[in-house]
Amino acid sequence: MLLKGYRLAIQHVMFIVLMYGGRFGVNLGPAVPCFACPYVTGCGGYCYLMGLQGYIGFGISLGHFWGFEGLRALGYLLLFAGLVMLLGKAWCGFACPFGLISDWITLARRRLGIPEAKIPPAALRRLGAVKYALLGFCAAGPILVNLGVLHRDFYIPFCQMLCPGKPLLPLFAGETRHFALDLTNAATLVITASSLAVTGACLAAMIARPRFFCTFCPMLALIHLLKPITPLALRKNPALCHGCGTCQRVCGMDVERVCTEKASADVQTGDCVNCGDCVAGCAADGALSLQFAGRTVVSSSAGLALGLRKPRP
Amino acid sequence: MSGAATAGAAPAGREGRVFARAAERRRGERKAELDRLAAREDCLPELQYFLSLYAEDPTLESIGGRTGLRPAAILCLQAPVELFWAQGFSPVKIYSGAYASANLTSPRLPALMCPCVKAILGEMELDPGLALAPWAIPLTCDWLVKFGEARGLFGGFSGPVHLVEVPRVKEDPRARARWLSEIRSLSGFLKDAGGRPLKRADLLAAVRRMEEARRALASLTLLRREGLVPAVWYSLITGAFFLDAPGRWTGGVDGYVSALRRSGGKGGEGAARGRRRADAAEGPGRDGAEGGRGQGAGGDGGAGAREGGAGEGSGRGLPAGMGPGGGPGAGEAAGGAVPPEAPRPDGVYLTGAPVYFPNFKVLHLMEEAGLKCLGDDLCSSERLFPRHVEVSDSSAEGLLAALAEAYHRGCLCPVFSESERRAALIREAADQAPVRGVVFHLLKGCHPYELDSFALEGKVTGWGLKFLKIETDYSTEDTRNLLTRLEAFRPTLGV
Repeated sequence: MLLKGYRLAIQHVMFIVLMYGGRFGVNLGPAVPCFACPYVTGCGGYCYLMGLQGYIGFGISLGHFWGFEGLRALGYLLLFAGLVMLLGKAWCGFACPFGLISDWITLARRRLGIPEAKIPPAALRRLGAVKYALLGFCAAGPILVNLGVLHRDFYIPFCQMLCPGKPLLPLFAGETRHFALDLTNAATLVITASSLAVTGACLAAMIARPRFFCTFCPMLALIHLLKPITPLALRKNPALCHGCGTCQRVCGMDVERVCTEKASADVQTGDCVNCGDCVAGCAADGALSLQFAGRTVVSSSAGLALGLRKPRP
Repeated sequence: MSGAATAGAAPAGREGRVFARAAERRRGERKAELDRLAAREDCLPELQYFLSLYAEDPTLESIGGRTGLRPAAILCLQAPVELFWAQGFSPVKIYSGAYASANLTSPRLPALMCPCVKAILGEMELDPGLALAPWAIPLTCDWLVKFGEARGLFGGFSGPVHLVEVPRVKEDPRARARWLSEIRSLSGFLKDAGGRPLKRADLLAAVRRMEEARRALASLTLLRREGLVPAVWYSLITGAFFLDAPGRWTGGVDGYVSALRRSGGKGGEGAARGRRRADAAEGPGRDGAEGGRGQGAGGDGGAGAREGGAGEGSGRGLPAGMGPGGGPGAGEAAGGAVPPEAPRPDGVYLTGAPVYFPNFKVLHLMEEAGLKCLGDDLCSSERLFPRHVEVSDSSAEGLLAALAEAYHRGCLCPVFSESERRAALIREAADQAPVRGVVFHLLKGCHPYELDSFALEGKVTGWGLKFLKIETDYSTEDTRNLLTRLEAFRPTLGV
């Protein structure tokens, strides 16, 4: 409970920084490794997926890919990689504003006692592959625009069509315009209709399952591709694991491998968001830990899981 | 709960005399053990609560009276107790370590049958009231699968009985789904047996009540790792869990933990050491204790312990400042010379079959042999209930799923298709405390544990720990032999 409390507090601080930071002079630029949405007026940074699409699209269309624009794109890529190296997937578990909204919905559902929808682990694994397809779409979409396959209004297609953060996050800045259909032309109609349909479906699914969208999030896929350079990792000591399954049950992403792994210490899977809920819930001393560059940041223990109080004097 | 005196018509004639003798011997065993415990130097006033629960020779009726809920009998910890509370029952695990009870049914049962099951059948013979209650029997091991038929040899059950089938392959999601349906079925049985329908709020309250009990036990376990809680007290406390309302039991454990911290372990293991010294110096004292336990008159050994305990308990019972938050405690005040970081070379871990009151033979013998039990993985003791039930989905269905998983996937009983993870508990304890060796307690007739012992021996010796397997039953005939083996084991720990 203690760990979860800390995480929730950090999530709220990051929410304020990334959603309203621009209003008090904080802007991390278009290299943030989570859903810090550029559609939010006065935000404190932009999601790198937007930058990725923008630089691929504009770089190619302007013919500056190898010039200044190219250098700028490389600079932001390096900044993004640096930020990923700093916090890894903790960006998803501790900083993502959209992730926090998902967690709010989950908290409300739990408070109301609404049961969580279950997806069989095998189906979940297959669904998890969608995030890599969406990442490919982020890269390929702008190229297709430049090749004339897609209308020019599809310039950042993932953000415009598929990201549920685009309509939802601006609500927190008082902006509702992304909930309207844009009837300018057929392309804009498709874009806005698609965005609203995806957002509606996503909201419904988020009520039924925690962190539902994270299963499909291309940012999670992109950060996972950088795993070899990420010092933050979830580690397991299989010799200390009781196999009770608590880690899987408390995991918003329903990651199975953390429980079933019996040999390897590396249990950082593609779906893991490094939220630390498994570490907090695990009652086996030292079985699970979040480590940074090999140093343990926090480790599981019966005392932590049970919130051991001091006995009455 | 280990059965009780009378709740039905006693048989007449020769059979009646046999029953009367068995009941008398059983009472003698219980009294001897309680006297022996009460006479220990480390018997703090806070332990009187637990001793009193055993002293009155509880019946299902008396437990129901104390808890205010209708009692239901369970045979194995695989049945989630939270479910019983939520549906208006007081779950009572039926167990017995009484040799007289096991001996009563032995002539009509296989020779190499689990003595726990024999003793339970004997308790049911001695207390016909037990057969009237609703029974939930998780089919964990083969002896429990056949328990109904075995009971049929003695008159069967009078109340409703529900068999809970336990899938043996924990890792298989299909098995887990089957187990969840078994738990739902158990809930249906409880409702049909006169309980309340399952409601989310009741189940959540029961889960929270249990978490309090877990926290209290975890605090006690931490002190045990520091060598402050002798194994006999730990087992007595865990065995009392089903004898009273969980809130009072939790309060009792908290009280004992606080007392241990206040006293800084004075009279804890020090008394045990003193007792050993007294035994060594006054051989007849020890003999009196051993013989007395079997015959119902063991008090001399305890008296010997009192003298020795006073001598060493104050001087070496607790290394100065060892007590958590104790600061300069009793040990320091009395000139305790052992520094806090001093290793405890005789620390051992007890694993294997459960140890039930009043048969604390193995625990006493370990103490007498100079072995300090710093932990165990017995389902009668540290594995009394799942270590933790993390509630991530507080809907009724989510709570049921959490309970089902904790009681099945988290169970480290050797009856499952693979139990390699049981070694994790030993490894964990060895990381927390200076455990040098593992004593494997095997009850004759328990084949899963016996098979388990071979794999476990390989593992723990690979970690550099010493391993000793002792095979026994509820009789006292092998006491000398076991003591000799345990005493011979001690020097191998590097003492």
